Amino acid sequence: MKLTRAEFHVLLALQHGSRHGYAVMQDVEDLSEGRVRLGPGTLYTAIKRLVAAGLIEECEADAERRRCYQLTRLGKAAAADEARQMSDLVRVARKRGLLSPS
Amino acid sequence: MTPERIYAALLTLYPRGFRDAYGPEMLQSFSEMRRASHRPRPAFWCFALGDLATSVFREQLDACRSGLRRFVLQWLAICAFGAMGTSLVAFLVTQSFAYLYHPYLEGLRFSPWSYGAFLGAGLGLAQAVALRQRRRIATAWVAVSTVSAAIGFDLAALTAGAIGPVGCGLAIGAVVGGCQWWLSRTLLQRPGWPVLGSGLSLPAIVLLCDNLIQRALSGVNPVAADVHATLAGAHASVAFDALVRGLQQPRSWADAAFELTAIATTGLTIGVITARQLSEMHRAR
Repeated sequence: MKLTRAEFHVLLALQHGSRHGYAVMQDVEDLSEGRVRLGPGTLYTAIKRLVAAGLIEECEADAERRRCYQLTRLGKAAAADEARQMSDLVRVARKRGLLSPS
Repeated sequence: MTPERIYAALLTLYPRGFRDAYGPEMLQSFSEMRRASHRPRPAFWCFALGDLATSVFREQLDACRSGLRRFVLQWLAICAFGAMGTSLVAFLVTQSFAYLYHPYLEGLRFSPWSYGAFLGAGLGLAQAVALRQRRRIATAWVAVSTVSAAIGFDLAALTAGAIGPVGCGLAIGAVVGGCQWWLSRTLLQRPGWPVLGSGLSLPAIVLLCDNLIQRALSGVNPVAADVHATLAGAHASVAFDALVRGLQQPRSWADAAFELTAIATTGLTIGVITARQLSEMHRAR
């Protein structure tokens, strides 16, 4: 499954444990230092696709009785794979002088 | 009206399945996002509405690509294009008839039932493509469409002069709906409702088309005169005349476009009426 940017951000946000929808939105904004903001529409269309693909799953509701989501083993592998591909792209961009060496 | 109420109303734009699964959570997330937002109100609403619009578009597209909605859309397209294809075949047959004309055939005319049979068979064949996985029903559907449209057209031609457009619609609607009920009575739990829909909606649509066509024709007198001259009944429905003329022989580009539209509208109307029945069969598969 080809991940969209929003879907990859959701997987990243769930990397450190289960979250409910709004917590995912906040995490994505914090992790991207405010550069990426997901609205409820984008978030839940991404969640729907990720659940259907088996990359995330619903877990027991939290103390506020809100539905939570967590990564599956397949989801962790997919996120790692996507990150590896991005890292390879960054390496190529550095080689070509598009980015300055870190 | 509170922002939450506005957002809840906007959530109805999503497909029902998505709304049922995620609607309450989305509303809660929206509410929390609004309370935590430090942006000016217009900027916040621009972001929220932009997000909603793009995701609604994506979800609606997704819903059209799969399941029942895909079948219904496919069905409607098949009905409209099937009707237009039928019109083309009927036109070619009429042309061949004119080309091979012999004095021996003097006075021979295609009667309305033959055009009805043409329309029914063409449409039925096109519809059978959508039902190909249920071959027995598909075959029966083609046969029923052919026979019912033939009878319906003939009855419509007989009643058009006396009762006008409503008679035309009632005749076609009642016959086609009745035959469809006969075919689908063992497959549907309550086949009476869709049939009632056919019987009532066709007259309404013919009447509406009639008014629209009358208005359109008032500016195109030669076409109007031509269409009126097609059937002997002076008070026959214009919509019905246009339908028969479309199957018979257009005489100019404007004429052809006008009648093709009438044919496509008929196909689409039949598609809209029968989609519910067929989607039930599709679901039962």
